[in-house]
Amino acid sequence: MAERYVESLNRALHEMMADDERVYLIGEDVHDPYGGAFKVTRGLSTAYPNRVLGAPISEAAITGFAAGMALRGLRPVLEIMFGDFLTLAADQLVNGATKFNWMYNGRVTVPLVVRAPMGGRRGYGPTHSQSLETLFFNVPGLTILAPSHFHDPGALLRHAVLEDASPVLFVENKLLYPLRLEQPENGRAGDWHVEVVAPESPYPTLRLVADPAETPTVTLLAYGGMAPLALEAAMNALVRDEILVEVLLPSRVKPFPVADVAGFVRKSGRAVIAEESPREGGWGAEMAARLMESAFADLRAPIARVGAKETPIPASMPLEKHVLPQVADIEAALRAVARS
Amino acid sequence: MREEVFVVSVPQLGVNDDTATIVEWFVAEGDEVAVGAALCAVETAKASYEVEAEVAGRVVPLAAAGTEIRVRDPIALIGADMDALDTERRRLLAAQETETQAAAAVEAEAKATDQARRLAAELGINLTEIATDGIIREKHVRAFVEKQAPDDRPTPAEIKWNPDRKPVMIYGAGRGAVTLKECLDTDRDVQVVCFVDDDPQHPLWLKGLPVYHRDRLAEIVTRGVSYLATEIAAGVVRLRIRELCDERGLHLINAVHPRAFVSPSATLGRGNFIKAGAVVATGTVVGDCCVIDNGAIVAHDNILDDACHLTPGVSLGSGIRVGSLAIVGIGAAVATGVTIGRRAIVSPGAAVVKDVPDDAVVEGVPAKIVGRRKGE
Repeated sequence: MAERYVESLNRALHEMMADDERVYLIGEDVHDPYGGAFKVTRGLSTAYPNRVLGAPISEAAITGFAAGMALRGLRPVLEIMFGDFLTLAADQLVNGATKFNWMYNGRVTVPLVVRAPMGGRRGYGPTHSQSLETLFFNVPGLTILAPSHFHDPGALLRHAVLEDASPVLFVENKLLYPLRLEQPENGRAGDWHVEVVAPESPYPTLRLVADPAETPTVTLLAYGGMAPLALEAAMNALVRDEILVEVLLPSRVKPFPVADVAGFVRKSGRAVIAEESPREGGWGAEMAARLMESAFADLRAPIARVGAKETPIPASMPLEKHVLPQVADIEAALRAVARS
Repeated sequence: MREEVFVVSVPQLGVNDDTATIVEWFVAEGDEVAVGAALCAVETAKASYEVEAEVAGRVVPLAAAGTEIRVRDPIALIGADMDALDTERRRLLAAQETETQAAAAVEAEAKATDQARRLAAELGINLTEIATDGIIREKHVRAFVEKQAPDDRPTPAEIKWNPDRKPVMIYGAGRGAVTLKECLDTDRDVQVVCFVDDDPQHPLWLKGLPVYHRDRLAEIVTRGVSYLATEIAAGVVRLRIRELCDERGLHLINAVHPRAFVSPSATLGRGNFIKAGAVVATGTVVGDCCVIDNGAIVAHDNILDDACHLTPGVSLGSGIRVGSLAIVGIGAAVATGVTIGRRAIVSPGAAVVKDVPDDAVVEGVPAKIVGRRKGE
């Protein structure tokens, strides 16, 4: 049986700490036996007691600390317990880590990886359910990864830590942690034909479609925790209305994966972008603008965006369902775009 | 006294957890347990913990160590009476078995879109008969039906026609054939009765008439169909069909659309197709198996050799000779007195003001040689 998303991350951390003594882990409550709020760091403090640093509850301090470690040649992996707390780390990231390489005229690099669980749908309330990677889309010098369960999250994390010389925000959607990874065999995973777009990239985009022989009617873009919902909506659209939808799942969401997806959008002529963050000013807004720039002549309909409503995420589960985008919302957008 | 059986299930400790694995049992079937006794160790993605007995009694584990179960599913029974425990265990296992079978049945059932299911139900087709890689869609159902279509064509011996008309077979069952039939339908002298095709995958019917494979030509001729027309695009194939007609003693007829103008002083050979809007003016001589397409203008005193093709909108002045198997592209203009060589190709829109050598490909205004024709 395939390993779970969280196990893939845990295994990757074990392996990279074994392989490279520059790798350090910093975070709150990461020590065994607790092993981290979501158990991603389980076993690491036991195996590498000198390189797992428990932190006080001060995101600003530990982000600055980790940035300093990176400046001095180490490979720190910083865990921010809930992505919602990135607001406290923001100054160190935005005005510090992502700018040092430029501000010091190329004399230093900051190979810092910040891991953050994000996402709702568990009733954790307004300040523990957000997908705040959106606050950082406008920060030059920051790479943002958000692998789905069809990607290899451990492999992506390892590349970010050991190979990437600039700051990376690694987004882990909480919904994905217990899921078993879908590992395509011969380009198939269940009902899906899976294609790797640009296979030479360390952060690949995946294309999933039920029927590769036909040009899809709609291209659906989604990432991270929205992957299961996007795939369910695409399958429903096929089964209920024979609307063939291709689902594109990038693993790197900043820099924006326009080159990976533009060709597909030009062919289908119709696109829907789905994200868990609020629709207004989200990932979809930039993607839609860039796709409009590169595919305008081939678009047959305006690009549709699906996202959360413009309110905080309620703690009440039924109300949370109302605010966060559901499978039905994506399906409705697919149908509307397919008909126009 | 009612025998009570207490069901031990895996509690949902972590909000994230849907499944748990039983790592180890600390008790065996039939053991006496007290309240609070540790029954087994369970592991989820989030945590490991021990499940404790909430009541005292004899315990019957339901799932083996190492099994992955759903959170809140029963994993053990505790009660006073072993018989009652056994009965309850058998009941639970039977319920689980039914559920597993139902799930397997859903899995085995063919995956199909709603439209495919509706169409299959309408046509009385069992979806499991359709072998498809992936989800069955409406197009797969239609393809399956077409392949299964019974052959309800009459045999050539059964072909009938109006005795006042000459029965015509059309060679080739493609798009050109449909245009040709449409033209011949306007001629009260003839009646198209069937099509003949070389392709083993040819459709069984076209425009309400049967299509036969070329191998059955003899049967058709025996029946008495002795007239043949063709609109196959490739000139060399049309010439082969002419040969075939000569061998079999078949009349290779011309098809002239009522909206075409062919001058009474123009002459046509055999097997030509003059389509709607075409003009063949005074004194022009047309050989065999030519196609003069919609709106092509052939002015007076021209010579068109066998199997040439003047495509739609072509304009020819006078005193022109078009060589055998030449193709003049859409809308091209050919000036008076020009000779176009055998097998030459004139590109669409070209203006031909000089002679074109055999096998040359010309293009442009004025037309210049840009290549040589290859192949047949």
